[in-house]
Amino acid sequence: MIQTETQDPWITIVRPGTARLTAVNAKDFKTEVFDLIDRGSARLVIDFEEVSFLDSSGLGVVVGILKKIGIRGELVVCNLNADIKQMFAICHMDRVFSIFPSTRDAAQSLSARV
Amino acid sequence: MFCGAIDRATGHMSYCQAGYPSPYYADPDGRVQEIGDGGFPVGLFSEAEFQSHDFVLEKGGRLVLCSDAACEAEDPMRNQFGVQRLRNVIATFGRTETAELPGEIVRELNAWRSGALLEDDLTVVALGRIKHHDSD
Repeated sequence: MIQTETQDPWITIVRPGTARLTAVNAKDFKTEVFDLIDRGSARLVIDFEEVSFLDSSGLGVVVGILKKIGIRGELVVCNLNADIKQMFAICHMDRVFSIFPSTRDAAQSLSARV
Repeated sequence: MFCGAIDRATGHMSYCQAGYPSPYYADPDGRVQEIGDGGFPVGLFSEAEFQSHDFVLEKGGRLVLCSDAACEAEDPMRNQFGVQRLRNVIATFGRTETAELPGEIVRELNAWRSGALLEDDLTVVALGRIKHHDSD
């Protein structure tokens, strides 16, 4: 399901590989990303460019990933469409996640935090 | 999640919102607006803080709460029903008895879905402040 790209030895771009991250597939997404973290990836960018719809289950999983990483690394998100950005705002997730307009901006920000 | 306590005599409502979607308020003239500006979802962050806010339901006004299944309901082309259509439905049925409003909303959603079952559980609650209360 997920596609990954390493932009830097410590930064992994994660693409959910679906246009709809919902209750139908959120658990599979979570399992795959948790496995990625267990294998050592701890500085992640979730790229929502190809995701057009995120429901509450999908949002819950993204928060679960943030908790899984905890203090061992960082998680940022990028390329949120207007609806998903609005959902992040109304749920105050924009106070929890760093949100970037592109993977490049997200990766640059993580690099600067090393 | 939305939690509110309403004083039936004055229409004053103290409420707290967690997550989405926001409820809708239809004023006595039929204008529909969303209430609240969101909040952290319940249960995700132990350190999350929630704030209560105030709102007054006018006589003849009504409050409509729908779970996210309503605005996220999709037609066969995967277009979502959306907030604006929901507001329009509430406005369109502005003269319908409050008790019948949830049924009308469900009928509109079913029509939008062309009869297909919703993908999520749906809750619709409508509360109206009657124009002549016993305590007035």
